[in-house]
Amino acid sequence: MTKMTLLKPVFISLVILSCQLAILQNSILAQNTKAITTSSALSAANFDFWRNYIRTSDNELDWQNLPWKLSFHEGLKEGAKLNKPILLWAMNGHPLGCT
Amino acid sequence: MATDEVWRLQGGSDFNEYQKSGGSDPECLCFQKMASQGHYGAGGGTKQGIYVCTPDGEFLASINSLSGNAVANTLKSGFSKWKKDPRKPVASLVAESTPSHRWEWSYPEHGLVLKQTTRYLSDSPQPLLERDKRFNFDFVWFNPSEVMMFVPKQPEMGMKFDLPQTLFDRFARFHLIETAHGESGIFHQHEVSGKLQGEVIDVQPGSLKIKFNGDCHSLSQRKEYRGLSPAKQIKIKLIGSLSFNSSQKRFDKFELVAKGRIFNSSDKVDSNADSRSIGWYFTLADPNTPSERLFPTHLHAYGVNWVKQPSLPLYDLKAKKSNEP
Repeated sequence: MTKMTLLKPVFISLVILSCQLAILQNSILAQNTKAITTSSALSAANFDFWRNYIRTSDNELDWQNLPWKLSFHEGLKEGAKLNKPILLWAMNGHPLGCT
Repeated sequence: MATDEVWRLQGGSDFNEYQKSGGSDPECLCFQKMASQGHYGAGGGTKQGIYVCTPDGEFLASINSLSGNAVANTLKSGFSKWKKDPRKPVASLVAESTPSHRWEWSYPEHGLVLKQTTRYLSDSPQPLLERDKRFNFDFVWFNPSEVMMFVPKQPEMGMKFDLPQTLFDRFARFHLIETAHGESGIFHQHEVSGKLQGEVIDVQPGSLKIKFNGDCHSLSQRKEYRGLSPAKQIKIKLIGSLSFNSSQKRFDKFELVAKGRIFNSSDKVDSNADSRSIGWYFTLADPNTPSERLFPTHLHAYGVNWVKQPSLPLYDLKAKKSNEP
């Protein structure tokens, strides 16, 4: 019981210290992110930031989850097999690549 | 549902010229007949858009619009026509044919295929909060011989080296271009300068790690390239790293970020000149995902002998002028 009584304040202090460290770390991260602007030169320090900024998020790619055939020819083949009409999306540049 | 690149399907800028020049790919002829009844009609010019057709290639409906409602109405119209006159199951002659050429046939098995994402960078003081939504994809191809140019023959820890011009040019001329909003022209070799430098940061039996950085300056005074203008001037900084499995001669990891400033002038400029920011990210494509085996949009211009060119070069066919009979 005495041991528990002694440990309790130590434990509470550790929890408080952990929270303070977490807040401090978040604050530093926030400052670092805020410090990055488009005019910041690309560097090893901000590489991750720009990589994550440029690459797409899942919700930007919902349209890719549709079962697209990759050519008109493939679409015609499947249409003939299933006896269904074909929806063709044809663009200057492949819609699933650079268009 | 199918997606495709329309330039090949329509046989260049004018499908009348394609047919006169002997173009006979059954898939392309089928598309040309079908699209001539669509929203852009017959003759020259792009035929891009959304089409609904029967499995034997008969036109049902089409549109090219950014309006979701307009597209939905077109699909309903096409499907309604289909329901009124459903076809008996017949084998489609076109579906049973073989295309005369596809760029994907040059896919570099055992080479390096990168997936590229291009996005404008917000000029907001807090770019993370106002992320620019305009992005685009492309793919970069290197064949197995070119893969070996990325790594030194006898790597040593700390070794620094310049990547060969061939590799730099592949990125600079065909991929570090302004495609975030759509198509862009490419750069001639003399219009790009800069280099990529590598540094060996880890050497293990059968594997090595390299980090690289570089810069690129693209400058073009041309008005257009095959109907597409490249940006007048782009200044770019590149940083990346790779892990190479030298036993299997393949990459386990490849990441490259490029950040550039596009200037609306080919004159010497300072940082205050009329400009905007753009970024590119390159990483390994998944060879098991069919859509990541699509061809690079400017593959036809790579100028390498391992890319199979079509027997009828669609870019050399000239569109018929309006005053020609």
